[in-house]
Amino acid sequence: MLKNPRAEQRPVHHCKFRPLLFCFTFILLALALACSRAAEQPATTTANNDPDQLLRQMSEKLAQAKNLSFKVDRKLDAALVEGRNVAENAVIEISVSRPGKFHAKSDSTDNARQIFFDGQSLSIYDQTMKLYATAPVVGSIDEAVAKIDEIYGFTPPLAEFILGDPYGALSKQLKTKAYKGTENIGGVECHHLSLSADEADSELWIGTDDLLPRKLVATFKNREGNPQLQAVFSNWNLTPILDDKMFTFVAANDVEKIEMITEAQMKEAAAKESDAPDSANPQKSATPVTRKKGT
Amino acid sequence: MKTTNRSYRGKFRAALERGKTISRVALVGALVLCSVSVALAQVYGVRRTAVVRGPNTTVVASRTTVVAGGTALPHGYIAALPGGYRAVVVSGARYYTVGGVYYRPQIYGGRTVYVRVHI
Repeated sequence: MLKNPRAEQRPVHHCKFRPLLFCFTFILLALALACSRAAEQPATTTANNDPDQLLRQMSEKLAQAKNLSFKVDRKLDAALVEGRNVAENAVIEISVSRPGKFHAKSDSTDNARQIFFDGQSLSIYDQTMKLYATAPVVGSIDEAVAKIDEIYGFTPPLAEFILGDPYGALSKQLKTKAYKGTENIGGVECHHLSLSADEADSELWIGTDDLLPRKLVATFKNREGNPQLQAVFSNWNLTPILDDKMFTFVAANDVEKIEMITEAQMKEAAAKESDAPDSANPQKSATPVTRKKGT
Repeated sequence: MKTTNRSYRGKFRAALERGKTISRVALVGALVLCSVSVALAQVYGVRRTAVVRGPNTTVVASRTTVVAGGTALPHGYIAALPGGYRAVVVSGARYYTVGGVYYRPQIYGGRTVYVRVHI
């Protein structure tokens, strides 16, 4: 029987590890092959059906635009309209200059107002009543939106879409995301996403070609009657020429400056009011403040 | 040959450690990136519902929006003036009056609200 003299020289443990090394190499090759196959696959077949990926792409598209402007036709159900208890239809025009300027103009049936932010101050102009208030708010749009939200208790309309990272702001709220197919919204072919969150369940339509938001319907499921916000986006311009002057409010002579109340001030007023006995607060019975059940 | 195997094992362990380090860095990076994004108290400009919880953490009521910001206005505040109001200027400041009641305008929650005042 012939023996390979070199084989005898090989130590036993070398032979023991040989199958292991072979298996390891095979697995690596299989993985490499799988990865290359995945990379060769057209992005449309996977990314376009992935709601998370679509949200990211939309976010990146918006965030990459240094300047942008768009229009929103917003319908708010009565339960979401501040104090008036009637549905509100508003046309909102938003202009953004990154990193630190925005302007929003809202025209509704009974009120016209504008919000100005120039990186140094925030101004709210009630065009209907010819009143305005200004507050010092310094920083980028993201910082300003967070400060306004925290200190003054509101955000600019649909602020999620003008932040530096819309995906971050939206995904923080979301519990589940689902892809519902494609639909035509106002003549634009759109991806339809269904997004679920604690506060509101939303349907979002994103243009298949431009990856811009086209429509949003949010149902506030914790509110009585499940009121809805509907926003239809249009007139997208990711390269508008914006004059810096448009972000700073300059009051005309017939416009009066008033105070901007903070959330803390309003809470303090509410606490005083609730602490005071009815007899000590003669306004209490006469004041026509509308309050809803459960408030 | 023992030396060779030890060297393989050493390399494998080193690669494993590198992988772990990369994973840790990626995790920390992801956490840092998450913390940068803005967490708003509002959803599309609508205040989140303030859930009022009872003693057994059961939900007893949910506040609904009365003005922008979702908190109910204290007594003395109104979100819209009653019909028939007229503007008056007192000591250089504008007030609104209707039915003998005076209101001073203020901006709250991004909108104009009116607080009842005595003049």
